[in-house]
Amino acid sequence: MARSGQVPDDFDAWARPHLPVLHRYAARLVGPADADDVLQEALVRAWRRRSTYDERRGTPLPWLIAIVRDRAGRHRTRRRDHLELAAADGPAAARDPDLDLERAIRALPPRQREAVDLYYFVDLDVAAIAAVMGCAPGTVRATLHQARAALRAQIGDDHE
Amino acid sequence: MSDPTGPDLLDEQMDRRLREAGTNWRDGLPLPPPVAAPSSNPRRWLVPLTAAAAVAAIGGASFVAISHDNDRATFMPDPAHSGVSPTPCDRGSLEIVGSVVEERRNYRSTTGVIGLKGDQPCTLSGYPKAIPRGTGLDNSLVQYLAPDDPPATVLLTPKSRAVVTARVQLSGLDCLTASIDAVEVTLPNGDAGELAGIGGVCEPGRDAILMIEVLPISAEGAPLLEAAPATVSGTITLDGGPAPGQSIPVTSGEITFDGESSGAGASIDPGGTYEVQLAPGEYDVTVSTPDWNGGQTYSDGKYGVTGGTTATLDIHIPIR
Repeated sequence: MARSGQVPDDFDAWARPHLPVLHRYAARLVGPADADDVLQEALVRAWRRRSTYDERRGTPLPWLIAIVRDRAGRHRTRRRDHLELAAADGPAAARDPDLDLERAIRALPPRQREAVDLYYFVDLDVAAIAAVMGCAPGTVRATLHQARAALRAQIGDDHE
Repeated sequence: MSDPTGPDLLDEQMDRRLREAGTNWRDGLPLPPPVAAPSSNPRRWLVPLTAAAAVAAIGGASFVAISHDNDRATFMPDPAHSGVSPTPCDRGSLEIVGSVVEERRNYRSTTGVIGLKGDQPCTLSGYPKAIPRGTGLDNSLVQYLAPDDPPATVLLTPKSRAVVTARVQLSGLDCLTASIDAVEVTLPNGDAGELAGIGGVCEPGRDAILMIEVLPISAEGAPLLEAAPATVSGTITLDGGPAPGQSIPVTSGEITFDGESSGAGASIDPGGTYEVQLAPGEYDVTVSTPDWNGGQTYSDGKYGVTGGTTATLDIHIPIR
């Protein structure tokens, strides 16, 4: 039987289908080396705050992604304030052969970068991204279009 | 007809490039850690999942990199364990039962497993204190970094443990002039223990400052425990021996655990019990009783063992 927050008692079965997406998103935000830690923190956080989830306001994925984003932000802050231990293990760019593109993506405005990360790298569809970003699917498409234009402006059109 | 160099084509080119980059990135991404879960026969697996999850859930555990990537697992909190409300651990109730050293590019960490001495579950919250011991160390120059997370509350039970981790930054590979042979830790309840040393490090005040970051008590100890030996014990009885519906202990013979890469055996003592230490893995269990049941060897099927646990496996041999 579900609890008051509508998260079923079987949290495992409820959250497990979303793990691949959450792991990819964490890897985009903090790099592959720290993605496991952020994912683990996010799952614990989600469980502790499960009473705040309301299924009438959306599917679990946007809620879980928001928690991953929050945990990743704390993780990055902790790294900056302390040792920056993970710098060498580092961000996704370190393992991407297309460094120019990766740098350009990271220089995008936050909303555009989030749309690019979720669509091209995390591999969510537009409808899911719209739910995550709290906007209409058309807005997501427009944001992606703006992001592509910004990327072309940064790294040039002659990139083939 | 659109301009072949117009904005639509250029947008498509960037779209294609991003798709390729995304595919390449996903292909190169390490797989997420497996989610620990019971086998198809949960009764036969000593799964620490729910216990670890309960600890993690109650403790709000923070991040700890405690094991090699291949050994890691993601633990799912389990709401079924949310009702536990034990008291804080008293001094003398805990001990460090083992530790593991992990080396990464920029730091090394030493992580100790906190175990319960008795059977009474209790909670532990706060941060441990850590003091490195070794040669060539000037501890007055050691800097401690205060964790910024709120203190966690971790539940310890006989089957679920916690971990304490100290990380040491490595600033250079050519200044291995000092050595940390051990890290003394004092847990928030006052119990003290020792973590394994991490070996040579940069001497404080010379090439680098030796910085130690002590992480809050965490519940993510299960991956560590998976590598530790398990203790399995139990009683072996002959069912239907004296009379139908009754059983008697088998007081001699041998029980054997055969695994793919390891195995172990133990004699059955006169009380009909046995105890064996096993590495994590799956084993075929066989009981040889030359003096019982017509000397017939009994196969009890497969048995899964998770490291660092203590379990009971009672075997009931049907009379032939």
